[in-house]
Amino acid sequence: MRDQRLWFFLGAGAVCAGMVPLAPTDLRWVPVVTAVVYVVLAALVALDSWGRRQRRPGRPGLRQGKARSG
Amino acid sequence: MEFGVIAVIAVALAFDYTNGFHDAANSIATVVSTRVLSPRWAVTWAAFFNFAAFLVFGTEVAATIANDVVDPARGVLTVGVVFAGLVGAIGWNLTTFYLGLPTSSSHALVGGMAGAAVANAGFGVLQEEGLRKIGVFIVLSPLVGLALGLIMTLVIMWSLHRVRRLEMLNRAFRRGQLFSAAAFSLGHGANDAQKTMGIILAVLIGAGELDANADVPLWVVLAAHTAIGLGTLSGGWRIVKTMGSRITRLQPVGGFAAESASAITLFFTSSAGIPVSTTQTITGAIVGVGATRRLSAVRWGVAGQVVWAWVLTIPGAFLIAWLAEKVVRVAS
Repeated sequence: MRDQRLWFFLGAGAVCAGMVPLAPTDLRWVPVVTAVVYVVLAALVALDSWGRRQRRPGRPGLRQGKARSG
Repeated sequence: MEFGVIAVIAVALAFDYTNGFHDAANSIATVVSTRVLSPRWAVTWAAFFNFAAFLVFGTEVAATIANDVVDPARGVLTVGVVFAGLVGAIGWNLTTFYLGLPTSSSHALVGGMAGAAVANAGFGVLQEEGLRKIGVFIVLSPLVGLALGLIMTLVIMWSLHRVRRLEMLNRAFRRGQLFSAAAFSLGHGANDAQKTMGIILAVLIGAGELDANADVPLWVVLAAHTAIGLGTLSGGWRIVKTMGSRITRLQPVGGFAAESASAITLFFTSSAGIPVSTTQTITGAIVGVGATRRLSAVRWGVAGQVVWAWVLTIPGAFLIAWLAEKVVRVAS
């Protein structure tokens, strides 16, 4: 099972990006920075999941268990 | 000062008092649940920092409430309109309390002010840019709190991952929670007391007691901080519902991270003059701490209530205030 956090962080990043044009000009950097942070978090989660799969080839049961507890 | 002005100020301070009463649990729940302080000492601690916030922060949020929701130059914010706005906010809070629906006092106040002003003079009196700023940060503040809570937890865990003596670590973070709870209470006092200051400032300007560009008088600042501090002191300990375990189970390190993350968010928004929901900010931060483990560690029913509060609160308070303004106008 893919880590649900990936989609959650991407969704949160999309919501923040959607706020950029609505935010007042002087505060526009807040949704921009927050959206970037969520995209980076999503990338880290994706890398982590990929790394776990690489470390445990042929052991899908363990991989799934790790993903849930990690 | 005429009786109507005094009455509206009294109602605004009562609103502030109930805010402290209800939101005290946010500041002290984790400190109490980890047994750092007894409930009574915890509320005293939180109330002190609620009050002390006036020494640290300015009155930017008050200025936003008084000037950026309804155009003050139009002379709409009369005593009757501000009273109807407060009735809308309090009425919505009581309705949602009775029905068990999620709400935010801060959003209710903005919705109430807007509803009463529109009932009096139409949609043209609303400040589009000010409402946009408030609306954007209604959505952003829990997401910023969530991201900060998550990042702080990750940084703490990463920097201390070699420490094997977990008991010692927990003891250190229990003590650290004293400071994080104090910081959160400071942010809560700053943001929420200033909303009341904004209402009082608006009514004083509307009644001709102050000039349109006047600063918030010191007595208003002290009265608002005293009201929220007393609310926290008198009510908080009876309604401590451990926010920590309600959303996700927190260890001392998680409580420290969540409170610090929401304190940072509140310090920033208070300095930038942005009224936000303190409850939603700490809810977001707690979800962020829980999300470092896995998403299923988060009780999404509680987190989802934040979204419902976004959708329902402003229109609900707007509608009640709109009706209240019509009644006030007929009665006077």
